[in-house]
Amino acid sequence: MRKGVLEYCILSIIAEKEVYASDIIFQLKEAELIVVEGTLYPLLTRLKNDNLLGYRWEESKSGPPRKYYNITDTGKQLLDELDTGWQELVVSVNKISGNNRN
Amino acid sequence: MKKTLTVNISGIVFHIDEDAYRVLNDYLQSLKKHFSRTKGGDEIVSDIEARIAEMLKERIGDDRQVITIDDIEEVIEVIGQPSEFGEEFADDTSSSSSSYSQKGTKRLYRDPDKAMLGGVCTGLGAYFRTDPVWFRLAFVLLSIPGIGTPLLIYVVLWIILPEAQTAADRLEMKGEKINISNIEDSIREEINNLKNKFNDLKKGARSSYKKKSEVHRSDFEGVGNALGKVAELFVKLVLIFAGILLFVIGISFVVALLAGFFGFGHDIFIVDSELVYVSFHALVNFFLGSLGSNALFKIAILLLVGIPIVMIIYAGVKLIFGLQRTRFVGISALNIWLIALVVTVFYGVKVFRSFSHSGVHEEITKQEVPVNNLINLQMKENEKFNRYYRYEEYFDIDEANMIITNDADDFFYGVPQLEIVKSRDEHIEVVLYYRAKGKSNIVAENRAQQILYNYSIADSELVFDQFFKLPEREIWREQQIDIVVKVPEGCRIYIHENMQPIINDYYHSPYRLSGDTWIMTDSGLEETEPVPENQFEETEDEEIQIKQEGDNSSASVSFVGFFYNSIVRLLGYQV
Repeated sequence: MRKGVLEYCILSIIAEKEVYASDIIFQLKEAELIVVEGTLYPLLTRLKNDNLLGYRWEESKSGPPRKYYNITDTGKQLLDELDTGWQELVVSVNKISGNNRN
Repeated sequence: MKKTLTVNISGIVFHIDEDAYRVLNDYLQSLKKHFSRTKGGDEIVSDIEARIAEMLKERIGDDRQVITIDDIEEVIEVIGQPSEFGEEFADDTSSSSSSYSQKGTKRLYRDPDKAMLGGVCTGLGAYFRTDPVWFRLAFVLLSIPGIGTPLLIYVVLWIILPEAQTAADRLEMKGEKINISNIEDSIREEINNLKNKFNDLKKGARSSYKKKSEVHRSDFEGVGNALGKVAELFVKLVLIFAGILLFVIGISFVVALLAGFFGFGHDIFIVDSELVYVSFHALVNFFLGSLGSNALFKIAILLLVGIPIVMIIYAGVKLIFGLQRTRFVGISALNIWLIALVVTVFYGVKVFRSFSHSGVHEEITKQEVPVNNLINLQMKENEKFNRYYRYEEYFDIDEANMIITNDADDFFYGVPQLEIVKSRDEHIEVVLYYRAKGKSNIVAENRAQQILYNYSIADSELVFDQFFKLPEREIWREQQIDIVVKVPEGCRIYIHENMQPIINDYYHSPYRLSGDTWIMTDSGLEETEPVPENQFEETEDEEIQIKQEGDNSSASVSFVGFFYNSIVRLLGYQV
């Protein structure tokens, strides 16, 4: 369950604007979706290897060069699918949980 | 003062403490291992490395220059241990994640390197991160009020705790993480220890100037060392004292054991016409039968008793002389002891089972009531023991219901118990119950039939032997004879004075019954002599009677005591 959700969130964040890992971590932590940063890196690498993400290097004054991630066209396509899928899921879940509560 | 290393993380140069470096390196190694089977694992690790570099850079800013272990630990906390990365990737990384034990597990080991005896205390010390001296002290000091129980605990720990043999064991013993770099460290530490020892030797040979430089250490350390030395000396003295104690205890056990086997003491109350010692061997055979001559059983018992004693002496000698422990001695001694225990228990159960079933053999004789309505009860005294009164004060034969002699043919004499009850018909009836124990009812009954006993019933004269005997080579299995004389109501019975040893009545003591004429009434035996008029005397009499009955019951207790003593002696526990 979490598996798809985290990837969906990462894609959404990156689709907004080009970001590097720490930005994503910050947002995910804010949303309380991840606990340790180590969770993120394997995900990013996998998304990138699946051609859903691309990246470019950017020099940093305060450390090593950073990887700035951007979303690819296939990534965007998947994100759209995930968006609709998610909406449907939310509606379905609400229907059930709402019905049960009333 | 700490050594600092220069490292390059993702192209950034850091100064890092030696121990911080070790932790970081461990962490990166574990990451690499975790992702080794993941597609793009290297990339993930280098991404994380970059992140670490970034965070470290943030943390040290411009003021500080060196990364400490605290920094590293905080960074690791943020990024997380590989096992925390989530199970989402289980399909990718499955086996690699489980092979890494994330937190160092702690285990109790014996530490053979610093051991005094078995290394139990050093192992405990390592486990609780305290000086093993305290455990040693506790074991030694508690052994005195604890009557050696802590010693037993020590031995048990010695056996059950594995020895820390490999470097990994040693790390586990201290609760440190097991990974390559740690193992490397511990090996390095060991090599250093060796080097130091070697150096010490060299120093001893030619007092080098290095010693002087040691003297210049801070006073603090000097005081600490001095205190340590005093404590060490104290502990050594305590250990030597404990060693002497153990040695003495062990030797006294040996003496007691030898005494048990060769029979110095005379607490086996053996009476013939003269005071004799029955051979230990005969006695063992008598109680254990063929088992008594079973070599395996004998050896097992000897080992069962002997090994702990030998080990006590061994431990004592070791403590006194501060000998190096030899690993196999304790273990092999214990193994042999356990085998001996199993063998003994096996035979013990066999013996126990030979007591498990009872058998009775009955003999009934019917007799008409004589014309004058009076019967005589007499005991036929055994001439062999008519001098035994000489030993009464020592052995209290009256209370013993068995006598064992050194005569192979007449080894055992048991005392029957006679009771007089009311008959249901008009006849006098004498019933003998021969009783014995055995591993089955049939065996027990056969054994009961073997009991040799003489008595005669002729007209009004009933004569009973003082003792019953067992046939030659018969073993003792609680053989017993109960005689019941059934007398019709109104019949008078003269109980001869010599009946006292065998007569047994619920209401009247043997002392009162014997030597008088009694009459059987509806409620049992009653004295025919006129009741003394003085009521006070009467009650006093009864008091005595109660006492005597109490004495009587103690006969069976002393009998049990005899058996117990014999077994205890057999095992050589005589102290």
